[in-house]
Amino acid sequence: MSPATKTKVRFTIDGKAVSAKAGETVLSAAKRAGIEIPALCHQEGTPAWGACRLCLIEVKGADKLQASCATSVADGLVVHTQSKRVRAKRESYLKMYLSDHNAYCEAPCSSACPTHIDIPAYLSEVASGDMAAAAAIVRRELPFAGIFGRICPRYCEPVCRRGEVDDPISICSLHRAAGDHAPAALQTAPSTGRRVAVIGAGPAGLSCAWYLTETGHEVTIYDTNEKPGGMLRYSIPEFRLPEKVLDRELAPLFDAGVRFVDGVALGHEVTVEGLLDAGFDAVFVGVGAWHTAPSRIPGNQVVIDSLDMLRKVREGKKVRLTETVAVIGDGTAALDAARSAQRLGAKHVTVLARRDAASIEAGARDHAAALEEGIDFEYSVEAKRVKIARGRASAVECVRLVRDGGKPREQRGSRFDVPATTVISAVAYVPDLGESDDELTLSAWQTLEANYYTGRTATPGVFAAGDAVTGAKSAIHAIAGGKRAALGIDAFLRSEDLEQVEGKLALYSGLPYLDQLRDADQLGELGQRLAERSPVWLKMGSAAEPAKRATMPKLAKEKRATEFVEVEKGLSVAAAKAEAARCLQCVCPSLGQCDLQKLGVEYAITANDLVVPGGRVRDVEPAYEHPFIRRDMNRCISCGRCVRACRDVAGPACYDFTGRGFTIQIDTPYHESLQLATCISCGRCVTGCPTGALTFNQRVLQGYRVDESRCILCHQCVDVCPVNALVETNHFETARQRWLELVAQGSQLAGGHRMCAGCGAPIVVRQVLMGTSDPVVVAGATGCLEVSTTIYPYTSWKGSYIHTAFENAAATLSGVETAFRSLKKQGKLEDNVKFIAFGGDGGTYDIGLQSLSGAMERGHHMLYVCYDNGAYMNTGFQRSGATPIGAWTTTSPVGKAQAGKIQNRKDLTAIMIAHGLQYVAQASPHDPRDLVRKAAKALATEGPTFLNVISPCPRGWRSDGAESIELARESVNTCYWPLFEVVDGEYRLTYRPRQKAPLIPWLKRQGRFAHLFKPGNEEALANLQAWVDHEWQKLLVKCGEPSEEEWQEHLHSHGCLL
Amino acid sequence: MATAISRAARVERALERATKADGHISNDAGRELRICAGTACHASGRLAIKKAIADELERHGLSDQVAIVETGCHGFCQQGPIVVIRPQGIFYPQLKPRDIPRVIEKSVLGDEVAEDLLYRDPVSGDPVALEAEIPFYALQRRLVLALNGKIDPHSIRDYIAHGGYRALAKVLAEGDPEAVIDLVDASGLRGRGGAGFPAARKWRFTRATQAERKFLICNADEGDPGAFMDRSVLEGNPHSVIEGMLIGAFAIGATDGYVYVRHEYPFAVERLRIALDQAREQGLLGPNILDSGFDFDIRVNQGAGAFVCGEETALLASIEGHRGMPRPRPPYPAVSGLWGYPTNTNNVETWANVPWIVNNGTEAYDAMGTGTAKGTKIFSLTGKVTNGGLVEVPMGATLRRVIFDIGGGMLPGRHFKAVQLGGPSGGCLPERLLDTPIDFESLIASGSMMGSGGMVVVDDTTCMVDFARYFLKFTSEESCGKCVPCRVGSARMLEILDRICAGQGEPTDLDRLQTMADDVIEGSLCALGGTAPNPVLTTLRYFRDEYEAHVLEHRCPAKVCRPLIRYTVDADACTGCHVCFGACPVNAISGERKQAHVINQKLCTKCDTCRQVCTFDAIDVDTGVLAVAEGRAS
Repeated sequence: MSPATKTKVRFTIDGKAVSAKAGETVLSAAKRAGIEIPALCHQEGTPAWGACRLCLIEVKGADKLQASCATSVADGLVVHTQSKRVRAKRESYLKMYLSDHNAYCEAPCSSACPTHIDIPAYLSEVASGDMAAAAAIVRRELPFAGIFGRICPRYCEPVCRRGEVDDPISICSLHRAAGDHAPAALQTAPSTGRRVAVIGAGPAGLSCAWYLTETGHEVTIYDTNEKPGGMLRYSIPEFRLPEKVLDRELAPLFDAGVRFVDGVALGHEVTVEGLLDAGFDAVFVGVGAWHTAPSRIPGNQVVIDSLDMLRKVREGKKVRLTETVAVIGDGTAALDAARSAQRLGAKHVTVLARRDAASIEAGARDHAAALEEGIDFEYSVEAKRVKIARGRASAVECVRLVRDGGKPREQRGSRFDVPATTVISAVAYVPDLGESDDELTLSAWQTLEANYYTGRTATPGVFAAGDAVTGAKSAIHAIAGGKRAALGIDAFLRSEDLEQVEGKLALYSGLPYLDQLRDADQLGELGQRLAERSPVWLKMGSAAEPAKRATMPKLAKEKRATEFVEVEKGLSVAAAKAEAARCLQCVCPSLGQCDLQKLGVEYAITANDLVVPGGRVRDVEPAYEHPFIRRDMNRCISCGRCVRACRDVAGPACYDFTGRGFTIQIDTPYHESLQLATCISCGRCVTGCPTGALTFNQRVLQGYRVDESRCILCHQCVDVCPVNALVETNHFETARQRWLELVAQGSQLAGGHRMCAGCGAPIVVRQVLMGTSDPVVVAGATGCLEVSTTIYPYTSWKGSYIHTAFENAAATLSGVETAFRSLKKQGKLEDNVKFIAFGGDGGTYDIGLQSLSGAMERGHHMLYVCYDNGAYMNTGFQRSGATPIGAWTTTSPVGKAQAGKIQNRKDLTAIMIAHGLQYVAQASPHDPRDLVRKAAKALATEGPTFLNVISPCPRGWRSDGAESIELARESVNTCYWPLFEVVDGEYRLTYRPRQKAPLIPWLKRQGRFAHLFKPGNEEALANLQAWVDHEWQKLLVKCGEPSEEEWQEHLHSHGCLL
Repeated sequence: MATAISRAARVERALERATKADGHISNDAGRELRICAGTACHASGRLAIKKAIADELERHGLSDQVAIVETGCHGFCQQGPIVVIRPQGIFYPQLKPRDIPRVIEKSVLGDEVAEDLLYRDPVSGDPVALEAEIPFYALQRRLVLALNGKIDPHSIRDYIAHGGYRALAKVLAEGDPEAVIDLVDASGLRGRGGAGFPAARKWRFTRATQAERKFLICNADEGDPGAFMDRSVLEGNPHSVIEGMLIGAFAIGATDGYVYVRHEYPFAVERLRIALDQAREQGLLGPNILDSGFDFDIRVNQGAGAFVCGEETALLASIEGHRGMPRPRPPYPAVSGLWGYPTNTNNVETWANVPWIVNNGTEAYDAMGTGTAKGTKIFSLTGKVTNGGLVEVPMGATLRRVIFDIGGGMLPGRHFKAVQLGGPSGGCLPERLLDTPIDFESLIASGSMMGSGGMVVVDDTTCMVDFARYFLKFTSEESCGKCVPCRVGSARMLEILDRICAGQGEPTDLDRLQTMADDVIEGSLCALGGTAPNPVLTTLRYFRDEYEAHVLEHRCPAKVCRPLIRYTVDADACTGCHVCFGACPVNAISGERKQAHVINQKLCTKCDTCRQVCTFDAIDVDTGVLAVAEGRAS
């Protein structure tokens, strides 16, 4: 077999012998052999592109690395795709890509938040000013946005990526703003008839109750205290969480029908068994950890319990403190106790923290607040003994702790005393279970045993979460636990196998990140909600400009020393919007489908020395104007697959490269919107995109109906339909043919007339005359058109033309038409002849109205066309009935007494409709197909018909003659001159602007309205807009069209974002 | 054999007819005034000189007797505008219109020289009258440039009279394409565009591919800053390129030719178009060339000036009407090039070598050059050298010979520091490598490359970090942006150099530059990226001390990097003449007359004007930590 005809070759790839087709590339041969070579730029169906440089391989015998997309297989070729050298280069190029990739995969804030709120989503709503939408997003995961916006230790903020640019976003304060500015209402699903008892009205219980109620279960909450809230109400001081905020935030829960039973303690008044026996389908235990564990410190008999103290303060009871106070512990309660002690009059308050300054248990927010208020800290110490003198505490003996990796140990010889006459302890809390402790399984730390994901305990139907399970932790963890348990309970009540769900989740959480992304679908709905991912944070560039973080307005320092008034005052809406706008929105719609991300994770680009502050990064405004395709080219890696897929595979060539070198970008021609770039919406660019630069818009697809009355036969829909769902019908083809014939038959009005440059009238006449191929008899009322087209001895009219006086064009023509009918009846004439009268608005609205009315009423077979230029233009711009309100004319002058015309325009079209004509329409010369179609319709109608056509007049409108057609178009888009037709009394809008344009730009282009923009004429301007709005609304009703709001909604829901 | 003989006779007859074309014929023994009409001399005023000469000749009634010939570039561009007077061969450089009456009087009417207008040897200061005796010319070996400065590029007759199209006739008469390839192979001609690929081997590949059409391209997209060899050849002797292409086309079997030339070369384009028209008129281009039955025509394609379009595949894309972006090889253009047809590309200088080889044989060619590099090479010598211009020397000549013997060495008081060879993609060699012979392999070994022949000489006033940054900025901006190492890698390297020049470099930056350079070289799709880091690598290799001074001491030894320098007035030397006071564009200098002046460091933009205007050498430029600290503070 000669090499030329040989069809199979054998070569070695990564030590594996592979056979391939002759002429095939290594890349495709490897793929078939199951060896994946990374390739970001290769586009099937197009020649090797060779840009991404990730498909480089080592070929035996070649010095340089070769691109596998361009290397053909050959017998005996030896290829290495994963050698150290190749991998090192790939790593280097991935770093280059990512350093220029102004985007991120996943938001670390959402991951860090125990409740996993979709933080970027709600920040985006806050930035747009929609606080209600923002709050709704928060409440999907955290019911009490206002409470936690005040007290949360903010795990989200230290990890915020904005910190790489300047300072992290004030995420927490922003959900407080959302909560404060948008009060909650708990929407409940239809009742399931199931009953759940929640024991404990703290954060865990309340959260659990909220989500259970939302799903339609009936919930009863039991608590020992008089009011719901638990630690939120009885431990957190007023200066952090005002009681009225707490009440406001909890109200929706009880408004939704949740029962609250006070004075009931687990193990005392009720037991779990008892509740289940009493008919509850499930029981949730969220009793918190209120009980101080037996302290082993000598001298503990004089120590005050922090929770007792905080509760007394909240209840307004007297708490006696001395001047020097030491607080043992560094959790939230410890810091709250310390700050309260100061407000109660203590002069020196020292917190004895086991942790170091950077990792105070209560979190940076409270730590900073305490420091600001002058609380002293001893970090990394352990209290060993409380020294007592004369029955009272005198000091706390401490040792310093050293941490070297593992457990902290005592530093030898570091004993020291912290003087304190009052000692408050805030350590080691356990749940108080009363007599129920033998109903429930306890851990070695005396907390409840329950599954992390579902809160399921060993007892069927019994669930637990919150501090009772975890020991004293931040309330946000309890909220998250309560929510998970609610989901678990709901699943249990629907008889789902929770053990199976938990098993899957345990397995899932052990998977590497990419596998987690891939396997997320297999978890099922509940599993997905409960799953917690462990993302890999790739290091990427950012082009964000530094912008200052919002400062939280705070209570004056001096007041803070004495008053229990809320310290943080909250952000204003404006401040919140600005702060939320700083969010980098570091989430990607292509998460998990992105090849760059996949490779970034595989090559572990978590550190990237190419990302340096001030380094150049791609920075492009995202374009979301296309109904299907979202383009965020900040994520683009210039691989050009979309360019080639569109140009070489699909055909339209919507994209190409612009710029060069580092500034290369992929864009549409002239940066126009994608729709205008002949896009056929085939989506090949999106499916080929290896990153999240091109993604599909989420939208609900519906069927479409063509409104033939509005079709202008432009053929564009047929051309662009990617699936040939639209085809030319015979009717369509005929109509199109007809249009082309009309265009070809030429104009019946010759050039060389003396009309002004830019006058609308001759354009109107030509288009009207295109409506028929029959011979035409025209009568012209005195006016610009008549005067300038028939200057003796010349005429521009190719057909018969009758001069007539100003006021009687209609009457004259009706006589001619009668004569014609008579002659035809007598058999003296056989031709079909059409009769058209042209009049300006003066000759039509005013002077000729009675003759017009008579002719119409008598039912002559004629068309009357009014070219409405809004005044008597040829005689020197006197106002007519058609002159709009506010417009200047010589008889509606502008001065002290009046600003242009005082009256509204007469609605002549309505008057003609009232004559009961078979066909009346309004048209505009900017849209010839519409105008010609209407003229043709009118002329084909047996009987009198009327067309009112707007006709810009550069002289009288004081406008630029070159802009006349544009002005006509705008008159339609502003709805000043709507295009519609009335057939036998049926109104039909023939064109509806996507968005009703404001009147002002149109007015500004006309000198006759110039005075309206001077101070003092605001009212006239407003009157004109109001009149247009009113008339438009009236017309919409007549046409059976949706209102402007409904129309926008309709367009939006159909994906039209133009 | 009857047909072979008649074929040769037919070709001979056809060429004979072509010699009768219209146009001037230059004659060394005739009375002629040759004015250089190259771009450089044009810029320095050759039109005014031409008019002055015409007026003067008319005044003396000599218009009919003395011819004015506008020739191509003479190569000694620093000395323009240049006029050479025949038959004596007197060379007048840097003429002004007011000098013309004296030149005519002395050297045309009389047989003398206007001594004060003559070229002076930079070393001895002695005047040199004859062109042939000027060391700049005397030490060159002009083969491709032989007729430059001699013949009228607008006249095909002139070219033919000087032996032009003889080589083509010979090849067509013999009618054996393989023999032509063998001849070129034996001569050892290697591509002059940069890579030095053996021309004949490429021709053979293209010849071997079966196709109904084959393309042949002359790459005249000379994009390197400071390079103008190709332009000068096209401007001065376009027919030599056309003849070379014709011979190549015959050998390869090409049917269509293109000259891809920069839009920025208007004279070259104009003269090339005239030459093509003339060749077509004389039956040297188009169907049945010289009655031999061989058809070939050449079109001119003007590029828009993208550096990357000099890369073969990007050039092809550009001719096809696409964005000039390289593509991976294979397929090689010899197999699938322009519009998918086999295509052979060589640059201007390569094609211009071909007729000489055919006329003079391989032995004469082989006699010039080294073992692996034959023939001559043209360099455009620019920078801080005394005699800048076009230099054609045999391969293997040393850098020292070109820069010092021909180029006249450094400007007075300055010291040689480095030479950048091969344009922005080449490398920067230090003084100790001046004896490197110029051939492909030696230059590659030194970290540089032949490139297309740019040679930029710099002295001790140049900062090598800044110099490398300049070239990298050029290549980074000229990158097409297609592949990531070149697009992002070179931009990131440039950012590092920017930081170093701003005194914000870190010691680790040098290693990082080195690794990134390797990554960019290894991974780039085409030679633009594959060579872009060369200036950085060679300066890191030969001038590492300067990098270290910037990074470790925040000092720019050449006192060029503005953030690292500071201008002060030496109070002892300053006479208070007030000149700098007036010259400072930002009013940063204050001081009373006859008293020492002071520079306000906050206002100073380090524009160097004061130092340039000071006649007392009283402006000091410092560099060091202090300057950086101040720079940062401001």
